Parts: sequence; structure tokens; C-alpha cells
Amino acid sequence: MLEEEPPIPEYIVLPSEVLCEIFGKLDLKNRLNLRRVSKTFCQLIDQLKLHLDTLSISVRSDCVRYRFNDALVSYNNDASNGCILEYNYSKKTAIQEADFMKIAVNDLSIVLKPSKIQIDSLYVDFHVSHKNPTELLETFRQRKRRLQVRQAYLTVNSADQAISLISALESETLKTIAINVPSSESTKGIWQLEQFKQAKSAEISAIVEAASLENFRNIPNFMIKAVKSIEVQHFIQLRDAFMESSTFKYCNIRVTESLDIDEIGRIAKMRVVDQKISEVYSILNAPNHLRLRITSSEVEFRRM
Amino acid sequence: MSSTEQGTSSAAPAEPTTAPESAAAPEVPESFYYVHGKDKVVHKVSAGALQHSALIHGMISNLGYTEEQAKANPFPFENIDGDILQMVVDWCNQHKGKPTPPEDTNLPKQKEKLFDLVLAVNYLEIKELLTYCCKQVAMMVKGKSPEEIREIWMIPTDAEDEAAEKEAKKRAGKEAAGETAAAAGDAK
Repeated sequence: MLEEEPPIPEYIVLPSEVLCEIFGKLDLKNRLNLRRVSKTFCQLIDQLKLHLDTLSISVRSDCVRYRFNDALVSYNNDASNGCILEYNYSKKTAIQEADFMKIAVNDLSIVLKPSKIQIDSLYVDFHVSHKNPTELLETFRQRKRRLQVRQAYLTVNSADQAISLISALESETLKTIAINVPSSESTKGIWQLEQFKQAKSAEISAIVEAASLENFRNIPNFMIKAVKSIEVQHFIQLRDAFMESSTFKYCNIRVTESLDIDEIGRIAKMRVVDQKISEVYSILNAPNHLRLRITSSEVEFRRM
Repeated sequence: MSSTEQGTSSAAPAEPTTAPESAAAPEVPESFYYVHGKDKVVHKVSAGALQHSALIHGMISNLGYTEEQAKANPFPFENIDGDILQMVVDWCNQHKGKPTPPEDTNLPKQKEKLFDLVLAVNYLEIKELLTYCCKQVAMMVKGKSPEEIREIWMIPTDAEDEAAEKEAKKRAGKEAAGETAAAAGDAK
């Protein structure tokens, strides 16, 4: 055989599993640089598991801000139709004739490329000044594998936005979920998500129809700021569920319309003292008790 | 030296008055193996030090090499440069039977040597040393721009890469054609 091959450019080839081990030791910023080195590197980086302590996304009408662990990046709308990029409040770069939103969305979609992503705390804040950042939500919808988020803190403008975001999260890893929806539309769809129902702790600042309370029964710890049209049967159902639950700890519900304590006492056969109801029940198969307190503005269950 | 190290794994030295059979156990001389790299320089390495290499360990336990056979036929690692193999052997000797430290600062600073070491260590499957090497390479890349990283790896840009790919394809095509032609020739 004739060995007459033209010289191949002499660059260093390390096996991909070794490259992955090397890249795995680097943080997001370095990995993003490596992605731009070559196609091979780019593919390898996207195959690597990415772990972030914090990912924070905040959207306003004139600015998008991300925090990746300690790194802060913001994309500001420039009056002359450009985008001003700011890194950790100092390094500024102006990009002429570019839409800040498009650049921000593109950057986020690159960060969210790896198939396996773990995030300890995810913060999303859609300011009322930017009603619906559809393109940004699309980067969450497009993901094939769900994000493994432990704690999610979401402030959004509509139930649909909350649903889009929560649907992109892996239900098994999601422990804590805080949702803030300052709108009067129905939020029913959010509470029906499997991701939501299995959470360990929830803090809700949104209007929740009393009929949706059944979706909260398995959450050990939760607070709801505004429950609409609650009736005696809803308390009874919750009480019965908590008495049978082995994991329940605490529940606090604030109501939108003030409660008629006397009427509740009469229907549910509960003792009313000083316009308050306070009852203690024993929990099935456990030495603990369940304490129920009802005032005109809130309902509280606590395992003792 | 080797006998004391072996002794640490046994309780025998603490009781020197026990029966000769059991006292003799730690006295068994450590077995040695021989390896050589591209430069054919033969290195004598103890079995304990070679434990670090999953590849060599596998070769020894699967092939049932005796010491005489090992002496007559050193393990040939033609793909590893002599000086790199020396580094690997030194490392294995230094870390024989010891838990490996969290940091290893004796790795080569020169990138070509480091990359060669990574390749050798990966091939020999020395897990701990590979971890150190990968850390070292990661430190080299840290904070560098894509252009600087390309320089470290001597990676061509995507455009150059594509040209090289095309060239490689062409060549592969030619070879495949040659092979099929040869196969056809064989069939006749």
C-alpha cells in the first residue's frame, strides 16, 4: 500500500470522554467560550450536564436581566434602536441596530441548550411593563428534556405564562414553588399540573378558586394569599385530607371575601369564641394533632 | 522498602514471634513487571504501583503473567513516548498504595507534554492521574477567549475545519473505492 497522504493539520485530538471531563470542571462562562471554539467542542458542551446554583430571569419593557450564579448580564434597550449589553454592572458593549429582546432570548436559548440542566433556584420575574415575552417563553417550551429545578420563584402576568414555565420543569426534582400572578383571570390550570401537585412547599400569591384546593392536598407546606368563594365543605375536605396525611405540616389560606364565622360554626358544628373558630383533631395513626383556626380573613391548619 | 510497605497491609510485623509460615507472608518479595514505550527503554515497576493502571492491572490478572514471563516480555506501549511513560511510572511509584492527594502540582506545565500525558494516562486508565491532568488542562482554558483556546489546542477555525473535512471525505471516498476494487479483484 502506498502511504502518500497529504499532511493533515496537526491539532491536538483528545478523546471526547477526556474533553468532557475537562469541560465538566469549568463554569458556564468558560463553557460558553468553549462552545465557540469549534463544532466538536460545541456539541460536547451541549452534551454535558450543567449545574447552576441560581438562574434569575427578569424582563421589563426596556431591559432583560439574567443572573447566572454570580454573573449578571443585562440587555438594555437603547433609544437609537440598539442594544446595550452590560456585564456585572460595569463592562458595557453597544450593539448597533439590534433588538435587545432578540439578543437576550438568543443568549438564554444557548445557555439552556444542554440536555441535562440542574438549577437550585430559578427566579423568573416578568414585570407588568412587559406583558408577554413570548419569544423567551418559547425557549422553555422548546426544550426536549425538562429542567431539574429544586426551587422555582415565578412572578408572571398570566396563568398561561406560569403553566408554560412550570411545564418545562421536572416534577420529581421540584420541591419548592412560589407563584405570583397579579391578574384576576382563572388560575385553575396551574394547580392541575403534576409538577405543582407533588411539590413539598408552595407559596401562592394569586387568586385561587376554592374548587382548586383539592390540588393542594398533598403539599405538606403551603400558603395561599387569595382564595375565592370558599365554603364550609372546602374546609371539611381539607381537614379530612390532612388528618389522613402522613406528610402534612402547615397550611395558611387567606380569603378574598370575609367569612361568616357564626354560619360556619353552625354548619360544621364547630365552636365559635370571639368570632374565631379553634378546633383540635387527632391525626390517624400518629401521635400528632391537627389544629384548625378560622377567622374572618384566614384559615390555618397546623400539625402539632 | 517493598517489604515494609507490604507489611502495612498485614498484622504480622506487630507479632514477630509467630510461626514461621505466617511471619514469612510479608517477606514475600514484591513482584515486578516491565514496561517500555516508543523509545524501547524498559522500566521496572512494582505490581503495587501498577495497580493504578486499570489497563495493566487487567492485562496482568487476565493473562496470568508470571514474573519470568514479564521480564522476558515487557509490556510494549509503542504509542507512548519514552519521557511520558517515565512520568507515568514515576507517578505510579510515588503514589503506590497511598491515597492520592487532592492536588498534584508536579504535572508538566508545557502544554504539548501535558496533552501527551493525558493521552497516555487515558490509554493506561489511571483514573486519579487523569483527574489531575484534566484539572490542569481546565485551568489552562479558564478565562481564555475562544481564539486563545483555539491556539492552545491548535484548532483550525470552522472554515478551515470544513476544508479539512472535505479533504478527508475525498480521501475516504478514494480509499473505499480502492478497497472495493481490491475486493472485486480478490473475488475473481
